[in-house]
Amino acid sequence: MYRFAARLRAAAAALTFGGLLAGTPVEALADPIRIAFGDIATVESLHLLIAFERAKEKGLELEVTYLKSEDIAAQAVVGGQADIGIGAPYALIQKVNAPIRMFLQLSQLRFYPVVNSEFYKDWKDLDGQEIAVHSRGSGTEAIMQLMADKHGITYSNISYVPGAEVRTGALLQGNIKATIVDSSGKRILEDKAPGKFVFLPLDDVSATDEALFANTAFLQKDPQGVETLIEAILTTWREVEADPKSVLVLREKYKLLPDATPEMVADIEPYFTEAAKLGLPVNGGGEEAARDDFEFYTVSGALTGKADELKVGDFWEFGPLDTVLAKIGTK
Amino acid sequence: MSSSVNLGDVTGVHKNPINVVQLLGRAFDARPALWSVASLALLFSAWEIAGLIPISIAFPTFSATVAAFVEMVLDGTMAHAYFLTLQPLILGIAISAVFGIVIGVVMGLSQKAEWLMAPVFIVLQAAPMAALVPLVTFVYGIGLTAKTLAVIMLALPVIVLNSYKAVRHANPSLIAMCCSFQGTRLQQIVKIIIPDASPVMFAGLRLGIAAGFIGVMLAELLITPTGVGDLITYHRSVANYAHMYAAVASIIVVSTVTLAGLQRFELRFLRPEKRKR
Amino acid sequence: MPQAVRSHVHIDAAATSDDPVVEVRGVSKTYADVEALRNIDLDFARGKLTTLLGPSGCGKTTLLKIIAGLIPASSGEVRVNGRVVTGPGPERAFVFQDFALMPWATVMRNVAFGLELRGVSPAERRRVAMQYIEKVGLAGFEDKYPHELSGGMRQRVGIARAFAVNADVLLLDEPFSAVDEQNRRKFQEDLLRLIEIEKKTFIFVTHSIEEAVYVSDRIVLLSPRPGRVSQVIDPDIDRSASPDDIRRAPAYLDTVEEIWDGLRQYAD
Repeated sequence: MYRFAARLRAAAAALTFGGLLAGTPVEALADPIRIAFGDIATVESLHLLIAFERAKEKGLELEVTYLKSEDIAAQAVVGGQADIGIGAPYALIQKVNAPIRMFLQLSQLRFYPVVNSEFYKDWKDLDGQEIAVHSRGSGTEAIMQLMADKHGITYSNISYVPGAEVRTGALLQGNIKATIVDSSGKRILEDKAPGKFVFLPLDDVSATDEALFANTAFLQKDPQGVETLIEAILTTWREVEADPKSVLVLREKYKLLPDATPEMVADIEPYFTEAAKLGLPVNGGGEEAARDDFEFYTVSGALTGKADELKVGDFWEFGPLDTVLAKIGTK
Repeated sequence: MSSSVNLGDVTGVHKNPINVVQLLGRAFDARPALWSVASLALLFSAWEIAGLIPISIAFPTFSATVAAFVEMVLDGTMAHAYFLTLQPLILGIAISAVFGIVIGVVMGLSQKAEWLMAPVFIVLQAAPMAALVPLVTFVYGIGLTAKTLAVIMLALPVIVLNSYKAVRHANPSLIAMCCSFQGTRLQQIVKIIIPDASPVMFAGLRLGIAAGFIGVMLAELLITPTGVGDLITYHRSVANYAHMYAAVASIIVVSTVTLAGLQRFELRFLRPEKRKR
Repeated sequence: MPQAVRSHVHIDAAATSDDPVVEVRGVSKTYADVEALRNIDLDFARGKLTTLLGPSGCGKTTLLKIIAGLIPASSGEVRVNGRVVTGPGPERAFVFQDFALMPWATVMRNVAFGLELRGVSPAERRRVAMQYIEKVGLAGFEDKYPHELSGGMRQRVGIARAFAVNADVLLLDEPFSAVDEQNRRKFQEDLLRLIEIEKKTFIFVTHSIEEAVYVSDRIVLLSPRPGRVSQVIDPDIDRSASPDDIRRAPAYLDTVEEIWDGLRQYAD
């Protein structure tokens, strides 16, 4: 009886101790880099997925999770549940001093203001009219607002309709007459109703749509991992820009987005052809891109204060990018 | 503010401990409402401290939240947000209340209606509505109709099922009494079953309204951000967490006050025997 | 009207009575597999108080509810004033064991409820109800709600409600079972006084032998499983005596003993 009790105690102690061990980050070195997407993976993130595969080939362990919104991805990075997030968390960094920094620009905002030609022809016609954008404080609203300021017009009302595909559909159905869509929406509109919609000219609006960001502690802890990732992304970007069709081949090779519908697959080539034509951020953004962002996001409301008083170092960490560019050169 | 009054009392303790403690004790005995004030003061203090630590960079202090709330009230955004949020909410709850009680009573009275409709509402009540709300947009788009429907989807089943159960479980002894005095079926329903069922029906109505608040928030967060849902979404997206919490807290307060008001209304007008004399 | 009907009733009157207001003929009741009542034949004399007495499970409440028309008999029939009972009727009023008072209504509305259902004008039913509220000793309580009253007072409301509809027959289902012993005696005395004034027929269900002997003109003993009439006793008690004298009278005590002997066999 006594022996049994003693053995039981020993077992319990071993269990407890084992539990404690498991709880401590002993195996931290073997931990994969956890990457948090703020959205489900689509055709538009295909090149990024390819870059991840290449980074894995270089021996990097990656673990990708898909979260409901960019915002939650940012919170996950701040809270330590993810190492790297995708998005442009300017507000989070400025307002609550979150200890995160962006380190690589992935894409720029590519949106197309569009109107129904039965009602409007150009920017001036939109004076006193209603438009629809993605959401309050979003890039789409900022673009429309910038253009309104530039053309000296004001909108009577701005309604918020999340999802470019939803706005595209509403435009086709005639529920909205003026809005702003993404490149896939633009292709659908040109396809389904050629000539019915007019795409309004947009001056050079340059702002980060998505960037990679990470906890500052993580950037210091694993610079090699970050550099490997940056290199994989930039080389892939350069390859896609040179040959957009390669995305199709590489998708096959790495068996990415296996559940994609035929329509989605059909969209791959035109999307990347257009993206390559407009230019991918093959040098990872950098100081200049950050300055452009300050201009844009102070207008959108995500950032407060004067654009030229903001410090790039408060938002970006270019150390790893510079190292990689020194190695592979700029384009 | 209540907390500042209490703070004043506490500092007085040093000068004349016994008297102040006794005085406080007496005050609490005389006005039980002070306990609620004290419990709220405790909650808000805990909130303030949690915000100061802070437990998360996205968690503002109580005082910052109050300041944000005042700011939004003064610049009119709060009023505008509630103007938008209350439309689908009131419309949806009114429709749910009327149809819910009628359907529930009919189901309680008629076996056939029960067989026909009870399974539908039991399934609806058990279904995770948040998952179904986006489906509404496929059929009804993103306007007021879809949002009102989201409110109805959440509020209606609980109102129906409570009314139904209340009627089904009306006191059989009272029904026999009504029968023994040759009450007609209509008299039985109007004079016995519905009054007897009304407390449970009202409980269902309260649950339905609480569910309606959930429904309108789901709609405003999942369909399109308008009203209070827009305040929450927008301020979250630009990291104005104090404003976001102020919006969240305001809807909790509005919902609580509404439910408490309904309870008062019920006691005041519908349950005269429960009223304090 | 009752006179005219009664003329052709006494065709097969088995248990005899001078002027039976309620006649029970061959009534049986079976619930699923349980036989609650078997072939009951009984007459209830007009203006008398008859008690249905028996151990629990003897079907006495079932019989009362069949007479009330609240539940149907499986076979046999009940006639009231010569008419076959198919449901509740205005000539019968029921007093419930659990009072069956509407908790949301005042004493006044509860007492007047039978009249309200009949469409009597508010002023008239108030007048009638007030009269019976006073008779059962609840004057001053008419605006109270049931939960503000004691158990005894609540049952007085139930009795006043039954009286208010001016039925010929009052059916009381263990009306004092939820009333404490002290109030119970007082209640029984008040009931006797009311019977005196109102000149109605009472059918009373109880499981208390003392209560039955104290208030009854006739006691019907029922045997359990299935319920059958086992004995009919007419206690010979001088009701003009004071309550305490009645409870000490040899006739009273003997009758209690006699019934107890009859029921002893069913005691657990």
